[in-house]
Amino acid sequence: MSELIDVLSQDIEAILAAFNEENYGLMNILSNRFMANATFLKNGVNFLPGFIYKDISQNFRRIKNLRTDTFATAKADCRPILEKIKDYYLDSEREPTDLWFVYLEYYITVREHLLSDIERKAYGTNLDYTRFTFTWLLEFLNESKDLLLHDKNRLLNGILNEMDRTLRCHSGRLEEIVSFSLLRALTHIYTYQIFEGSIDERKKIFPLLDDVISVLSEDKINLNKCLEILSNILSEWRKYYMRYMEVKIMREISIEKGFELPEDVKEKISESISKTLGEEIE
Amino acid sequence: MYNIKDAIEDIQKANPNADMKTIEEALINTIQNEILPNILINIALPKGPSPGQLKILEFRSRRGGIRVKERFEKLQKNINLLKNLEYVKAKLEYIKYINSSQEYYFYNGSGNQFYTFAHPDFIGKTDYGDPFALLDETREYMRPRLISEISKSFLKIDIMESIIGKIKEEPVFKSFIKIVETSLRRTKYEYEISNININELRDYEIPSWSKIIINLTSKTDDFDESITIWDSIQKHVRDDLISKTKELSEDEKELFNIYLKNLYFHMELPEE
Repeated sequence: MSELIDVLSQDIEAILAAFNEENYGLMNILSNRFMANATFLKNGVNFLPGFIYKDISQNFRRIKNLRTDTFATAKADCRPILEKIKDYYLDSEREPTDLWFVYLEYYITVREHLLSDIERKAYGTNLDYTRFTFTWLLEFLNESKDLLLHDKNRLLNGILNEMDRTLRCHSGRLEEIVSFSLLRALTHIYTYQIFEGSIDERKKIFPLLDDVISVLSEDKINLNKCLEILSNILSEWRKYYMRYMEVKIMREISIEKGFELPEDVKEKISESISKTLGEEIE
Repeated sequence: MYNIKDAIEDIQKANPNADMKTIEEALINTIQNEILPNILINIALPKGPSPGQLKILEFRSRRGGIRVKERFEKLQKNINLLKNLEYVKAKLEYIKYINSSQEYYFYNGSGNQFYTFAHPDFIGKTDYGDPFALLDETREYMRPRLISEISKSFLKIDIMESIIGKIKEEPVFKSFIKIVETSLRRTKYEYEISNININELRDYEIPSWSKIIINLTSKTDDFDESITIWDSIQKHVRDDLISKTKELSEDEKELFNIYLKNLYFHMELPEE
């Protein structure tokens, strides 16, 4: 068994190397690989490192793509947390749920780099507001969940979209990070259920969704239970991947369509090229 | 001059949620399909030498030395470019003339089929070949360069191992490095720098001694230009850091000023 655990720690080494190389696409693949390997190992394996690393790869791809002015600082700032995830995972003395706290630490650290200049200046930390919003969204999801059987619905993504921007703008506590994680994991498998197409397949989302809503509605969050549910959902997701490989239905909808360049930008580029060409043929 | 980086910044401001790939595609497509044809149609082309003048220059080049020959070859190249540009311009004007719906159309000469100018298959399908051969070549020439310019326009900054722990542990230092990075990315010479790394020098016998070194790698081989870039960048970054101190508490300001005092800019200079 220790050799099998070694495989997971080797996945983590590869993930860290991909982060250092700024190869976030590969980092995402390696994080998925960690979760697939965890699926093979079945009981008692903590999926959370793979899930957090996947989130980190996506956040950093965004930070780099948006050419955030503080990209290098963000990378330096988060690097020790990536190491900490590995250390916590390999330390058998630690509780597996301790990683939830490292996830929160990561999110608080990366958050400032996910905001635009304007947002950073305008928004502070409004933890109670985030709690209020998340409660509202979970209730709304619960009331509207039948919509998940309909073809054109985007309910889970819509809820996640609101949660994501609320967390980014106002920050959150551990409970919100856990809620966001569980729902995001659920979206991974829901994508496959929609892709498969049958109503019976889609209905499989309900028991999982009920588990998520029920655990998140408890007065005091049960981190062990949340971890168990997360690992269960992620394990199902990797099995879906083995059955259907990559499906793109959701992604295609979410890609922003091409757009027109602003007129003043066109004019300025035009002036520059004209000037260069003019100099060339003079 | 307005460059690709300026364009990307302006496009990002107008489309804050667009990712880099979408911006890249929009920028390249607009340059290729809209801006370039418009420039070509409106460009005022100079008159080249008359055939008689050209013949005289050719005779001179035969008798002259290497330099005279090279000058003549260059002149011939420019004349060819002018001819091609005139040809494209004339055809584009014709297309504009027959255009009836605000789009460019082109008659393919072999039947009654028209293609919109922006159609991706257009150039391959035309029987004329020539009118747009230059445009086609220009597009092929431009595309990889545009992509390369776009990727280059995000300056590579590496923060070295020695500083990473300090960023995590000392909030004021983190704030200091953040301003340094932001300022470096916003200097007007960002385009002239290929690489930056931020490092720390320490003396382990004197733990309090520490210097932050910004290593700049300039793209230019020109000594004077390098000096100008080095001087301007360090002034720009220092000014940004000084202006930030106004927002700090007294304790933070004290620490900030220590970092500022120990900040150095290093650039390998080309030989004079």
